[in-house]
Amino acid sequence: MFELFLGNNLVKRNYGRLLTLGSILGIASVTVVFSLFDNYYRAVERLLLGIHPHVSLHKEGFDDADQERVTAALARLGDRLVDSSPAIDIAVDSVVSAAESFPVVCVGEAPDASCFDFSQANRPSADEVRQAIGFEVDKTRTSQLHLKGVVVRDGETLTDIRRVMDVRTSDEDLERLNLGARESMPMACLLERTLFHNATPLDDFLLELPGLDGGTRHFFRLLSTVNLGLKQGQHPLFVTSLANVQEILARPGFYNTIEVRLDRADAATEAAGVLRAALEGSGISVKTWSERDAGAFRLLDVLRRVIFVVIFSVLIVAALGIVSTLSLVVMENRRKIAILRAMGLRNRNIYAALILKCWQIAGIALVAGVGLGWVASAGLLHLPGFRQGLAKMGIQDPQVLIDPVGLTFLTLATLALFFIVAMIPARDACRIDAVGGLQS
Amino acid sequence: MAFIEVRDLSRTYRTPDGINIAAEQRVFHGLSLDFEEGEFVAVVGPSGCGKSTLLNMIGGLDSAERKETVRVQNAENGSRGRGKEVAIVEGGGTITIGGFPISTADGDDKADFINRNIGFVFQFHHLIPELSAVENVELPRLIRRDNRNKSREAALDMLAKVELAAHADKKPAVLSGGEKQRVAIARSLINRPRLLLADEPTGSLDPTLKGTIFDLLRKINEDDGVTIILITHDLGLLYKDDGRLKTDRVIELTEAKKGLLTVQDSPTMSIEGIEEEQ
Repeated sequence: MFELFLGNNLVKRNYGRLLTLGSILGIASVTVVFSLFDNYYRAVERLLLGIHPHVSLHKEGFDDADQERVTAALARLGDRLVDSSPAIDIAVDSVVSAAESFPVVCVGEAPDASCFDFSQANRPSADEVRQAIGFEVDKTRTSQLHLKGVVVRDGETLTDIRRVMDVRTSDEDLERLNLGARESMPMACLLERTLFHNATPLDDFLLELPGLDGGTRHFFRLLSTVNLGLKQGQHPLFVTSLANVQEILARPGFYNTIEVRLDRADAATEAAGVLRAALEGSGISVKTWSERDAGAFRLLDVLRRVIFVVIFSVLIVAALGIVSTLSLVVMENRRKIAILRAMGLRNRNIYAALILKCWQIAGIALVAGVGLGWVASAGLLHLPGFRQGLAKMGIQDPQVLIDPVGLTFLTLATLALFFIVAMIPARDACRIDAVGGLQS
Repeated sequence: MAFIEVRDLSRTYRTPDGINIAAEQRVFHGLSLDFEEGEFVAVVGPSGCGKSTLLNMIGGLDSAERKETVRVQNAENGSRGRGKEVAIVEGGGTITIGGFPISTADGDDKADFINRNIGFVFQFHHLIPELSAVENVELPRLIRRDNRNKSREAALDMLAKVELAAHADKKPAVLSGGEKQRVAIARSLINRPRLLLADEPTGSLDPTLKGTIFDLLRKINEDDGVTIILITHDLGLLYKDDGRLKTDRVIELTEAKKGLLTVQDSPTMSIEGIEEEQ
């Protein structure tokens, strides 16, 4: 193509190389940033989907009429509905007392001491422990808790809670969340790691809910810590079975949430719309998993905007650099352009030559830059310190992520930017006076 | 109707000193000329009389109708920023070539007309140094968006015509002055123009080469019927040993009284006569 030939001829090889190299580095940097952001975004999504159902229906106490309406509403979702189950989702004040973990706990002085061997199958009943256990508290923390009681069936909850567990537990252990399956105390729970920084699975602790349960201390065993990274409503998360929560709240049969699982997480908005329409006027609120944690997504949006502002600023600086270089190219090539105009070169040839040259640079930079960005991202992820840093941000198992949408945006933005920056020097080139140019 | 009609051409340069017009130079005033198709016309005259300006206007590189302030930035880099005023250019008149109003045409129409109908040869050849001889010659064809292979073929033919086929792949830097000028002539002819404008094409060459280049232009004029307007200072080039003109006509632009230029059409002027006038 003549214009590309012309563009290659106008832009000195060294300028072209410098522009290409700069563009490659810029695009590689943007690729790394996008990859890291995508990792973070997916980590947040993963965490939220670990604890939130796709859609949740909430009312402070469902009655039979509500249940009927909900059943009818859920039927409207058709095949999209995978499962639904009642749950309790509540914020409570709590006093959590941690203690040493003892496989055998004895209360009283020998020889009359009562000993409970938790390692044996023949464990004491809940009442026996509650009445008799001695518990060596070594630290206490008063905190609000996001208390979540969920139905556990065959070691599974309706949400993908295993996703957010820091330490994998066996199916049997997860099953122990369920009061019905428990053969003995203590009650089992999952506790957000931030509540006790040093808490490890199978630690025991006491939970007291002042004002709700008359000062009763409930003996819990921690199955696993969870790490949401972002705390629901700024409260640490405490997950146990629905039956456990009903017991510690002393409200048998109570639930205030119906959790709905769909075939796809991204169908939540549409499904929520169907449910809202069906439940209008019932006092039952409907929220999607992303609406439940709108704060987290707002944070992500802010982060995304900050990244875009940074990238935009970088692009502006890059654009100024390209414009300066191409303007220099035009100045250095005044005579050449004048000669070509004396041969009948059109303005559109000049525009096309500079735009195509810029797009050639952009094309090379996009391919090489994305490749280099991929390699750089992979290299970063192999640095132990970097991985640990990401883990602290809640990003587990980070991967090199080059999102097709992001890549498309990057490609279009780069081509658009290079198009725009080519226009300014091209306009100047078109204004070169042929006579003056020939005399220069 | 003549092939080229120049009517009432005027051009004035005014130099401002910041407040007043400090100096005014009227290059042309009411200049009218005709050129017939197939003519070989030499234009002579003293430096600064406007020969090149006339040629650039005929070739569409300079506009006849013009009122413009030339600023320092214009002169330095071609941009139209607000720089220091160095001259005010005013002009008027019309020029038509084969009925095409090149003095008023603009944009793509003018560019296409130049590409297809006009060839330029300059004193300093103005070859593009990064390109080989054949690449330089094929440029006007490529601008016309001709097929690359056909353009190359035509360029090689044209180089053969100026006896430079063996130098097709050489860059201008390794060619002699005469060879460069022949490449430039080949380039100006590749689109088979109806008009060739040559602005002192022998000005930078040694006497032997001057004759070679002039003879080449004459041959092009005779063989292909290309109208040629040649600007030269070298009057000896225009006359044979017996005093007869080698060109069809010589137009002399002379500076008359009151700074106005007049045209003296002197097809039969002897070399001695012109030299005496100089």
